[in-house]
Amino acid sequence: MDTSHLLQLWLDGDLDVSNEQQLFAELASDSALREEMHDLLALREVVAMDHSAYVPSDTATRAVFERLGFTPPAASPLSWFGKYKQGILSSTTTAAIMLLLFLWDPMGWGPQGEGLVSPTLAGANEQILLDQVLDQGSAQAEMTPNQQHVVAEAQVSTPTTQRSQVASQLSHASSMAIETVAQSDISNSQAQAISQENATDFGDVLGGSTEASIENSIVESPNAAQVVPVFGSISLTPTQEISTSDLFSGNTSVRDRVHTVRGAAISSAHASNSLGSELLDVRHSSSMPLISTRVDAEANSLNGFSAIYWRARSHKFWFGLAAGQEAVYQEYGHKRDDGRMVSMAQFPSVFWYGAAARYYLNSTLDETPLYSEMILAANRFGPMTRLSLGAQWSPYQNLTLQAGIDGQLSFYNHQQRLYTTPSLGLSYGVVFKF
Amino acid sequence: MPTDYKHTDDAELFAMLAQSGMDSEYAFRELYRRYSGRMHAYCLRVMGDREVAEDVFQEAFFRFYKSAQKKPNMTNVPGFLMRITRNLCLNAKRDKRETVEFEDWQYRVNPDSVEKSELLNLVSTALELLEDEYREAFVLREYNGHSYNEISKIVGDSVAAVKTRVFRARKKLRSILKPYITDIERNSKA
Repeated sequence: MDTSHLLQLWLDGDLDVSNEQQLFAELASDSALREEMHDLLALREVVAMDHSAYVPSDTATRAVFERLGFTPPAASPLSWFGKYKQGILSSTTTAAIMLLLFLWDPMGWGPQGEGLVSPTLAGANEQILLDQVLDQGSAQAEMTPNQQHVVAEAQVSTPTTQRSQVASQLSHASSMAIETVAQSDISNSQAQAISQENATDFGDVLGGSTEASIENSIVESPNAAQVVPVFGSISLTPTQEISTSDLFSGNTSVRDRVHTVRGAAISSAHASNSLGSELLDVRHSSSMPLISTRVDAEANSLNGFSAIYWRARSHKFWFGLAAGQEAVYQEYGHKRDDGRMVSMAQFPSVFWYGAAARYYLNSTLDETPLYSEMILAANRFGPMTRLSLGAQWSPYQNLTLQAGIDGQLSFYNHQQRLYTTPSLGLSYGVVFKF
Repeated sequence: MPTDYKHTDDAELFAMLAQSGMDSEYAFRELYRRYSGRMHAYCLRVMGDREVAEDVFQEAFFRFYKSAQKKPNMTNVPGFLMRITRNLCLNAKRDKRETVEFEDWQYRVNPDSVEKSELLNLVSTALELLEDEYREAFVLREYNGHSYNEISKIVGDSVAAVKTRVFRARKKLRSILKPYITDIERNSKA
């Protein structure tokens, strides 16, 4: 009787004392046998964890009883709650905290009034413009009230976004208007014409509505300054990630530790639409491994969608509500003894929501703002968090080249255990504004 | 339902199934409480597909009840129920093969299983990779807790043959799940 057979008898409690001593002696000297014992015990443990297999669904139980004309046993109304209690409680708590944080604005940074213009960003622009004026020795005090009005309108009507080149362009164009107005003794109509001319220049960048709104703000109604042009951007940012823990690093679900693959991934697409200081950031990512390991054949892909609704709290700090859904397709093959390849497939998916904060380490008005981003969220398994650091580079107006190194550390809770998925990635792409 | 039915033995409850009135229903309810979990685990893990498994499960209890009304004397009630369930599973598997033979190389995890941990998905999927006889022997032994003698009677083969199947099933599962054993162990200790 070989030792492996003895081991199986021991597992069943059918091994007599003499054979047991023989088995233990073998175990002491045979590491492969010890490993086999270890694996078989682990397998038994997981079978013992498979409680759900023993529980017929309420539907099945009801069908059995109803078919026999009996009264079905009452299903526990709280059974589903008990099942997802942890996820529900943590999700609800996280959502409540995030909503409070989103609404709470102790510094008065949030958008005010009916307009969509962030006073903070507009204020930041104003401050910069003022600095420029002062640096250049311009005497704003010498401006007539109407001239000051033109300047103020040009400043307020500035569509604010997180895009540094847009802000810079606006700052530049508006400051030209200020300088022109301040340094020459011209009439109000001339000042308006100059300002409109400059507005047209950067209005071309943002679209016709920008030009119209600025024109209106100057000529017709001061309230029209609240009208902010809508523009959007689309970027394609293929990302190559090298993960130290698993393929799906930076993404959150319980799949971690279950299917670990070392490899590289390719992702993703990104589109956003901006309304002044508010930004809807929609992201899609997909990835698949380039390196296959461990099993005879495998195919994996990840698809994730997320949306973040951002609000500027200052020119450095953005806060947003975030939600996303991620689904994994996993399929891997195993060659049977008869040579046939059989494949196993599963499609886990997870929905998450929470809040996001982005802090620019320098000003967003810089050409290359550096940012740190954090997402605090929850899914049905519990809370999760993401942290990332990156950089944007926007040397052009309509067409922005974007490149950066994204370091990301995701950690999340699952079954009272903390999992982490560190990753380091290179992202690059283009942003086209229209 | 009277609580003392919980202490009534299987044979007596089985006999009550043939009676009229509420006694029959109470007896069925008690027998269902005792054996539905085991039968469900057998159906689910042998069939792999939750929908098919629950169909078989429902039919098994229906036939079990109808049989009791025709022949109310039974000494080994769980064995009788197991036999009915097993025959239905075999029939369902045969029917399934006839229709999807050309693609039986591919196994799919039931979408319901997303609700469970992925680890259990992995194990249940791995079970599907075993040949039928190995899988059944393993499920009867590890899930239903039957002795080898009982399994031998259920499947109608020798004890030695049944043991061999269980042993090989364990080894095959181990080889399939080998890459994930560490995860299994970690998860089971969580």
